[in-house]
Amino acid sequence: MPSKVIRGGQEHDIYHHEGTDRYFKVTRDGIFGLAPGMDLALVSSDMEARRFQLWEATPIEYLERLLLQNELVPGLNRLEGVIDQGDDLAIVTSQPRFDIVPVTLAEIDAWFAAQGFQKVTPCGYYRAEDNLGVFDAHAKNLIRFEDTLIPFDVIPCRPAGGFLQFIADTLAAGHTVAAVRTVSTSR
Amino acid sequence: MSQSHLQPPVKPLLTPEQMQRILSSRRSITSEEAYQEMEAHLGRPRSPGRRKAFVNGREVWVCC
Repeated sequence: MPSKVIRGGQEHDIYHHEGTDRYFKVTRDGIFGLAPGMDLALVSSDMEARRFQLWEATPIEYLERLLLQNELVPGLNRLEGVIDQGDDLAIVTSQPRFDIVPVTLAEIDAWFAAQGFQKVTPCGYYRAEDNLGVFDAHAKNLIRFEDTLIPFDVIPCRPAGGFLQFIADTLAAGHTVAAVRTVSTSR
Repeated sequence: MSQSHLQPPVKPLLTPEQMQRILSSRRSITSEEAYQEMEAHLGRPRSPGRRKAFVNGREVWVCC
């Protein structure tokens, strides 16, 4: 692995390897990204905007997210290994480097709509056809290639139970959740 | 997500053929250029955005 480190996202150290033109991503500080969900403690309240949250993900949720990303974007992620240093676990994956062509939020909205998604949050979309939610889909996490977008670092999920019901209720009410809270403490 | 066997099949957003075309059309760049592009895209320097730390016995996020 190359010796130069770049702090790219919030949960990874990122290395570029010229030979393969891939980014190697190493989770750090025991952080495995975010997983969308709900705060059940607030379900009975009327604080709808605070019920939907992005939680710190577990290692399993992180790997499931990568697997689901691969179903959406074939060949996106490759599991390279796991670094186990006692109480410090890190997961190493790699992604191909893409030429960066920025997109706007309006373009992202339009692209997801064209793919059959409905907007649930400012950067979150849901498609009932395959029960697929895609969150954290902001302009830093997608890039353009010709007339398509490449969602290379979004958070996909298959909602179930109360979370699915919440999405269904939100869409049925004809509005989106205005605020998404990121929960920075472990569940 | 562990109940994926109960879920309808995922409809991919990109096809393998699209991915092949995307990857084969990339221009060749050095790692230094790749890092510069990434920083420009993220709109921030390479320094880490935040780290976990213990403050007064509580685990919190701190900016670095």
